[in-house]
Amino acid sequence: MSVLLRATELEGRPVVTFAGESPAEVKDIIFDSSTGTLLGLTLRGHGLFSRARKDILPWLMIHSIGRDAVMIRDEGAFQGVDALPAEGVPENRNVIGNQVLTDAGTDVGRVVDVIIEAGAEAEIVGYEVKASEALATRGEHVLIPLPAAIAVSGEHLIVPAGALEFVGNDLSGFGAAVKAFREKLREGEG
Amino acid sequence: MRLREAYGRKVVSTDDAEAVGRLDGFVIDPEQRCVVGLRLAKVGGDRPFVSWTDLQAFGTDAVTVPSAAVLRAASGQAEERAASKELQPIGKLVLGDLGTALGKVEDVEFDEGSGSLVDFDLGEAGTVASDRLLGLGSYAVVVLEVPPEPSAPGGP
Repeated sequence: MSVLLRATELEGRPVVTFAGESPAEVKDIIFDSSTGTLLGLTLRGHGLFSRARKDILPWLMIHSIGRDAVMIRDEGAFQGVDALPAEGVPENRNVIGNQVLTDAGTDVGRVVDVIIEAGAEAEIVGYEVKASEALATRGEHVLIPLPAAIAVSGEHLIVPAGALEFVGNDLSGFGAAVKAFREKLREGEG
Repeated sequence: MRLREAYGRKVVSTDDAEAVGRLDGFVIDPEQRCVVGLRLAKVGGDRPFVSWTDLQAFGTDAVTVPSAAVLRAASGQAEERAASKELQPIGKLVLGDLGTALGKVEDVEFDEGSGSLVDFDLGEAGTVASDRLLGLGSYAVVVLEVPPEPSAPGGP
């Protein structure tokens, strides 16, 4: 089973062990900027002003990301940053605020959130964008599907022009839109 | 019997009919899904714990022990902590193992003969059978979000 969620919704979500203790909460997500795959979560102690923790929670050690908590079996799930492949920790992984351009050169808008599909593996499947004038829905937040394995770093984020046909407004139908878009891309290749 | 009504219950030793204390905390072993000990308040001396197996009866009006000699000190920090306010289940958040909050513990039903937990009462959110219990911590009671399949009676 997989679910779609916004990256910013994860911030502050408690990390809870099966024993019912919550040693940390989510600070941020870590993704591999070359493929858009989610590698894990960074952590902090509880409370808004608490310190960041040095250890991280690799994706494979997460039992489940739920509405109210990120569940882990025990604190053995926390690992040092060196548990990640080196290329997984880019200098600046924050794409929020970056401009999205189509490969045809149209400004789609600016990223306000990243949409993650979370299941056994997790990947970035879309951007939530504050629509530019190029879109009929200017000023509104729209969801733009991404091809599989897209690079998500850089000041400008490039998406195929075809993605605009599959723009969605809410997460509930967005999973199907991502799927349809990716199928169309595959047909184009074949 | 339910935890809420059991707190504060008098504990009496039957050899001299003296009250030895009042029930102040339950020591629950989440793995065994069982009450394994009690901590008493208003105890003279520094031996406020009693093992469930040393009880004579868990009655409706009093808990009885054969004598004050079964009272003991905490077996260690883990037991001290288990009996503390921090790990008493009432009022605690109940989280499914998939990360969904199911409600808060209103009360817990347990078997006064064996100490086995029966179920967790979440008020309007219903009850959760104790065979779904995974852990009891300071943050939450963690349970299987989806009840386990009942074992098939008989077979084909």
